[in-house]
Amino acid sequence: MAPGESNLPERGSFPWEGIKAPGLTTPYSELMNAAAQLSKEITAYSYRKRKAIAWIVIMGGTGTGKSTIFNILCGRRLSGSGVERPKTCGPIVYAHRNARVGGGLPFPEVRTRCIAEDDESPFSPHSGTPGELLVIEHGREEIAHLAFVDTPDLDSLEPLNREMAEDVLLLSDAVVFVMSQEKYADEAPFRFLRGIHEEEKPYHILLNKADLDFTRNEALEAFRAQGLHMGEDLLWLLPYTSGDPQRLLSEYPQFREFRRRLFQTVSKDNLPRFLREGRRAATRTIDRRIAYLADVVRNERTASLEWLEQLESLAADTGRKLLAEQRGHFTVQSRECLQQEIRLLFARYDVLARPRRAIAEIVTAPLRMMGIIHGKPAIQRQVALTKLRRRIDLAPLRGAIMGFNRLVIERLSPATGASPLKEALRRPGLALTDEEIEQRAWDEQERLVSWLDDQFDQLAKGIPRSKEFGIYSTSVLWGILILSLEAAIGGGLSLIEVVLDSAIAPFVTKGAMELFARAEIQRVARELALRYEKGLLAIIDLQRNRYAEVATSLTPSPETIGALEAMRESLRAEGETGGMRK
Amino acid sequence: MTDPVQGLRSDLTRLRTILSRGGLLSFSEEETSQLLDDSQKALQKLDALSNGSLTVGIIGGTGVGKSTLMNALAGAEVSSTSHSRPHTDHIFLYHHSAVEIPATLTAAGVPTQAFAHELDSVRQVILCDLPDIDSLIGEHHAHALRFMEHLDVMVWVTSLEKYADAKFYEFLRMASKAKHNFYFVFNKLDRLFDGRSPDEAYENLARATARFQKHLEDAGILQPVVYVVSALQAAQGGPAPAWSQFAAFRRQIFQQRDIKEITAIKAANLDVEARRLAASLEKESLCLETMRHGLREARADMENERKRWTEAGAAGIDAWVEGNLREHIRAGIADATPLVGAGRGLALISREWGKWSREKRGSTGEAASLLPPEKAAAALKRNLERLEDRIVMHFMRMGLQTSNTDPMHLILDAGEEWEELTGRWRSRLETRLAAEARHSSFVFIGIQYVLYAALFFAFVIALAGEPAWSGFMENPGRSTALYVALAALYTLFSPTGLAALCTYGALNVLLGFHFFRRFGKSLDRRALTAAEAIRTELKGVWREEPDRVAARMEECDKRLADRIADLSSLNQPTKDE
Repeated sequence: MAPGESNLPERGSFPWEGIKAPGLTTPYSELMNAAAQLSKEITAYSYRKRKAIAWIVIMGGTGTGKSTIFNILCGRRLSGSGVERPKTCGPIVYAHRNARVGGGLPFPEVRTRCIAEDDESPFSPHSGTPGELLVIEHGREEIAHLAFVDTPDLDSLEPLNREMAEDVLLLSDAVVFVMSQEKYADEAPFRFLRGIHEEEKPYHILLNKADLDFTRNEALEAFRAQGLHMGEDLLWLLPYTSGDPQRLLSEYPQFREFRRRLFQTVSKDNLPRFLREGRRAATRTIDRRIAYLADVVRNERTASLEWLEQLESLAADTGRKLLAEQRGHFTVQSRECLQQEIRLLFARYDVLARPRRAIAEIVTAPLRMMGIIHGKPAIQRQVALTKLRRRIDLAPLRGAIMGFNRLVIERLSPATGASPLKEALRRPGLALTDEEIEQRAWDEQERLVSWLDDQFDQLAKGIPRSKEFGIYSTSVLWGILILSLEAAIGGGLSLIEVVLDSAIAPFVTKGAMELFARAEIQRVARELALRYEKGLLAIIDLQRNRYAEVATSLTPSPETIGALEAMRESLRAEGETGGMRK
Repeated sequence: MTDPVQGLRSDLTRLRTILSRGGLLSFSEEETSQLLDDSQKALQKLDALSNGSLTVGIIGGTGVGKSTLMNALAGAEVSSTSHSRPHTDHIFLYHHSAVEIPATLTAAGVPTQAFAHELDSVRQVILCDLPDIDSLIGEHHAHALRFMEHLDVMVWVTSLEKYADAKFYEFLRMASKAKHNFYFVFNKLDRLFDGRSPDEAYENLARATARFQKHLEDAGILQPVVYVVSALQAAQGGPAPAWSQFAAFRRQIFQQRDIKEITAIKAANLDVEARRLAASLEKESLCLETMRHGLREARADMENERKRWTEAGAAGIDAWVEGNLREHIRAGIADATPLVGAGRGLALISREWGKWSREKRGSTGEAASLLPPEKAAAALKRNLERLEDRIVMHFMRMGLQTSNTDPMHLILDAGEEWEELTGRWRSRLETRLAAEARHSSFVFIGIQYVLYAALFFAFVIALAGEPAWSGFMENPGRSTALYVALAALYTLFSPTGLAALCTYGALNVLLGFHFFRRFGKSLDRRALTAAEAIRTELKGVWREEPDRVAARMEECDKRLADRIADLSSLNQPTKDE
């Protein structure tokens, strides 16, 4: 691996980019923020690895004198200072032109403008532009390995300034934190100081504009009371000066001592070691953040899977309830259709069909003549099917699905916050419409009928026509079938059926029953009922799957978690090799 | 113009009524009780309005010179009791020894420390020095924030270094006080003059002040009153620099105010406070509006569903009428049988037979058959459940959570509604059946009596025989009549008589059959027409159902609208009445 290169992924291939989460355990916005921050940190880290220069970032509250300190450290009047607050609006970088710091800065949303410092002519001070990073390039070899950055304030009413400062902080190898007597006990800058301390960045605190009776201990005590214990030698007290602070301060012994210390740590000889340590600290910070993100993602995934289980059991409950209600719900109409089907099929193999019909005609003729019964015209299959469709009662199914939808939103939708899952569940078009349910139900019915067709075809083929009893058995088949169907699904026999059954009853012998697979027909009838139930459940399943798809699309994949862990691994490896190289 | 105080009081009381009535949708229990608390406090403050003292608070960040300003304001008499802040989270109160500190200040849940002075010129004013608003010790700004509500006049202090701090403006926004009771002190400006030429310093002063004013205006303070001072110089005494506006500031704070002015200052603050409380109910208004929207959608959806509703109901009711209702109607009107004689006997036998066979089949009793049979009932009830689900879904899709307390729960509960619906059906059925049973059949009964009587008469004539009758006709009298009777008796116990009796009996039975069949046919006819009428009636009741739900939606909508009106009336200024 070439020095300066890293095997960490680049922006655009981070595992958390475009990550989806249901927002069940952690607010989604928090996850997104953590991911965005991580992206920034890693790109900043990669950038720092590419450039062998130390970034010294000057930060602090508005009006504490950051620009003045920056100017002294650079030895030029580069950054404007004044009474208008906030003064500096965009970061100003002072670096050697060969360092080319402006190339590939890790802030895609920040414009970069480079200007060259003319060593000869006096330079008019800048105060930066919001959303723009100003790079002033110089040709001074003695500080070629350093880049000084003046940042906007951390605490003013301009939130953009704080964000810019936060961004620049990511690049820093060392921080000069400027405070003042008025501001050292302020909450907003202190939060930053704590962050810098926790990230193990080397820092110095300059407490500016101190009165003569102000002591270092006062400030240190205040920090300690908040749990921030730092080395005493990191805090430098600078006095309040009237007049030209830049000139007066630069001559102040404490300041000179500070500058000496600072430049010593980042001296050219010490630089590689210094940078290496800084980078190792950075990898630790990144590692912590990835670990946090991985935790969140893992929790989200667990919660999501639990959610799916709950959905499953809800769907199962709905199905169970529907079936309990529908048990034996072959309505008169659907039974009629099935019987018609059986009749039509077996008529083909039924040698006794004609004589039987004749018997039936003869038996029923007087009744018909007296007008007691009406002759039923044979219904064609398609006609029967469409009739059935028109009359089939889908209301229970529709009701069950509606109830299921209600339960999903009532019980399974996250109640508060803008969770992606909550919004997704309420998206229109997710719930099956009545028309969709109808269409599905018809499809299922059609499938059932064609399955029945196949079953009877196979049965018919299996009939041993050569055998003596076979003929009888074919003729009695549907009689048995109707009987067993009745036995399996309940219901009564109509008058006509009784008449016809009585006509064929003499043929129903024990031999025929044994010969022909009575069990087979019973199996068909049972399976028919089973398939009917399955058909109903399939439609509930369809609805459940729609919800499950939504939830699954919002569930972080185990690959994401794996990729995060892999990143931690490679980061750790990099931290070690970074330490051993050179 | 009515008394603004009175208006405020009624506003606050109204707010409290709305809050304590409960049933708020968008507020948690804690939020509600917090608002109730706040309004209670505001009411208390309203009561203490005529209390003569004015509480002036000095508020600002660390190190901006609040205490110095305090000393400068109070002058020598107060500064003799000066402090060296042992507890920076305490609030220091400077008051005239003759003026009692209002109990609300010390009971505000914030530690206070009082210092009395004898300066008569400022006896009206209680000066309060608040903890730092931007301190890294969180307790400090919590205290400052909590104490803020007790202040009448607020002096916001900032310095050259801190005037652009976000925290300052954050606090400014949180103070719900009348903006004209705010004064801004721009402190430590003497530093501008240190080591600089006066020209440059004055220019910087102008620039910084202009910037500060702009920041304030951006924060919503129109035409802020900014005093440019150096508290340090003022506290040290000596001649004030020309630019310093400290004297003006001091005059402004300590001016003699009559009771009316003080009341006006306090009332203005309370007005803002009341507005804030009322505005916090806006969320509720929005929630109610969303609910109304959901209600409208649910209603439109129900109207769309009406056709399906009617069809499904018709199918269910048909199944019911065909199933057990017609039979029941027939049985019901058959009870009051107009049959007499042999016909009645047949009717009784057939009824007993029917009862016996029904028992054998194990069918349900009389009362239950006024209800739809189980299957039809399930189908009908399912429609109600579906309607309920649809309505609830409309609300839930909008992110509204349903609970038992909110008004929309009253719109439809399928279980209760089903009970109600079947109750109405039953009462209609009962009325109809009672009307059917009252069917008058005097003619039918008359014909029966006449025919039975004629038959009997013929029987008697036939029994007595021709000779007896002719004797009676020729010589009507007691003896001949007795003869007729004896002849009849005589014949009765002869073979001829037996034949006549049998014939008579057979004829009676035939007649009975005839009437029984005729009655049965008429029963069928009547049962059919009655069943049709009942069918129409039942369907009518079913069709009314969506109307009833719609009426309840209407009522619910009205209630919501009332609530919204109630809430929005709070936001209306009442002063211009």
